[in-house]
Amino acid sequence: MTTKSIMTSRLYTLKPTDTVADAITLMHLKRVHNLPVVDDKGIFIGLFGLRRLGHLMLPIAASSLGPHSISDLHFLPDDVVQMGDRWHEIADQPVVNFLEKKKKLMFCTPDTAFPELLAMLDQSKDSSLPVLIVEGESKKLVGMVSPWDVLEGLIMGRLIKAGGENYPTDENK
Amino acid sequence: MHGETEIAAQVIFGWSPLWVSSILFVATYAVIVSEKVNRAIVAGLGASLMVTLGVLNQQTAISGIDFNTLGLLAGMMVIVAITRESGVFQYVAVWSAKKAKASPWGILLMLSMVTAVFSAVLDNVTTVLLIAPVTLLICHELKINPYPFLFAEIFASNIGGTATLIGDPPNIMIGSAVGLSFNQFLLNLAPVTPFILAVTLGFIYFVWGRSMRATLEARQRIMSFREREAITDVRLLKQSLFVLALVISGFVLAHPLQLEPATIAMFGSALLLLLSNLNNGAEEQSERVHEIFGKIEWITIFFFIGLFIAVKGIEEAGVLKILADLVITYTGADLTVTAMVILWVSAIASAIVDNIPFVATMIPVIKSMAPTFGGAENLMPLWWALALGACLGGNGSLVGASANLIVAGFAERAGHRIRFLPFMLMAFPMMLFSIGISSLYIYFRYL
Repeated sequence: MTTKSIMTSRLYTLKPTDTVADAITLMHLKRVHNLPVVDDKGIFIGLFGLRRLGHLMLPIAASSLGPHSISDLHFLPDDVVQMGDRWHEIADQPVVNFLEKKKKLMFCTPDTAFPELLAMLDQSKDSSLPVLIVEGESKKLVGMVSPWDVLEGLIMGRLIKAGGENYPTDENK
Repeated sequence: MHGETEIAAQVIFGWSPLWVSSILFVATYAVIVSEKVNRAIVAGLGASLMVTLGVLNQQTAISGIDFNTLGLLAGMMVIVAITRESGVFQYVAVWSAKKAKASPWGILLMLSMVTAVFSAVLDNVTTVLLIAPVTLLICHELKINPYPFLFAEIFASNIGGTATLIGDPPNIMIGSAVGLSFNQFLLNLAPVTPFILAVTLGFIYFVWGRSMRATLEARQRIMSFREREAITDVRLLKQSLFVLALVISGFVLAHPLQLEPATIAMFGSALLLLLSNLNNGAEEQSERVHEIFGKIEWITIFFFIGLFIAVKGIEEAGVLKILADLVITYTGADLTVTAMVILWVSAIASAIVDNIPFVATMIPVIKSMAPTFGGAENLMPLWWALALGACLGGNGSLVGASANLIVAGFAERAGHRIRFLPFMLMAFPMMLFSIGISSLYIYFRYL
């Protein structure tokens, strides 16, 4: 049982030049939380997620100063004007400006075994993981996997079936 | 083990201790300045080589470490780490911006003064870590360039830090090594600092302040900030302010109580740890204490330890005595000339390199001048010259003080990069001007 058998391979993707507004429209239309960004050859560049959007709408001093960002914003009034201003600043910029740093991004391969996949989904800040085939420096995107895929895998009985293949039952005997 | 350490140090292969220690020290200094290797690692290596190559025996090496400096730094770091969790620093920053009716120049003045006062009581790095993010937030809301604000805060933190024994590491080191009290620093250095700050802010007004504008709507937004909401833990706030007040009173009364500042800071940190953990179970306590201890800047502490041993190495080998004699020969053993040379050389050196190693080296050099000037009590003008030069010199360039680099780092992340040369073109002449004021102060008050 590996990632390959449960991942989603029909994907919605973004080009690096797509804007933040394009990304949000596609997310809303297709009801997905995370969109992988790939170049013309299908090489994975990064992940743009809804989580990132919330981060971008915060004042810079609360989001971009690393561990010293202002974490407690109690004193700010309930004012949507600045958030709107911030949205105008970012909406027309390409998504590639706002991708999660590569070092921080988690990904798996089609061969990632099930226990490792579950552990990674548990640890990842993003709600789904890109599935990549690594060849030297380049990473080719082949799918996405989320806890939903895990659940579907279970409901479709794939897990149970796979269990059946591994452990001889009375019928097999 | 004990017997081994007590034998006199002997340099391996019978090499000259003077040369071995000098080469080691210069190499350590050079690598620190290059900033290619973390400074705590460099100082640690330099110090251990002083011992392993036989310049120092282990006991002398340990005796070179000024535990009073380390205790004071670590104690204050713990107190600040706990206090900041109450949200009091954000409260003061937002409160001061509103007091200025959210006018940009008024906010710059208020935040600079808050920075200066906090820097006098806390260390500069901590102060800018707390004030600079709020400054960026306010400037963003006002839609104005934060550069003049951050520039003013860099200067205010270094000037404020000059005013007290605990404000800046050079003062802590000088105070501890020479046995100067909190009050002596306050009486001798604090009087000149408001004047230097005022002149600095005058420059900033002339260059940027007079053309600062913000829309009424933007100012209204600042006025709608609810500073009281910034206080996240009232109980912790009360505990922290109580302990801070106790510690500062302790510093003021330290001399009659015959207590070292480190003892007072350590007592304060232990008391605040106790108070803030009263309601916690055993497991939660160890988690909390572990977390707070993690916020001590261990790199700085270990940098100091290594540096003290390295300086002890060249001191024992007689290098510093030679250096002191050289200074005295060139200044003609004249106290006025010596004080001015120390002031200006420390200022220019501190603008280019870290002032901590510089001051660590200068302290024994100045100490050994005592016989020339007729006793240790006559050296006072030289100590004040060293403190003013080393602390204010930090304003001369972006790399002059750690606080400057922290502010520059924040500015860059927020998309307003502070560039090295343009900063220095403004800051270096302003720093020299502040040293000019200090020269007059030292000359007319002490010489």
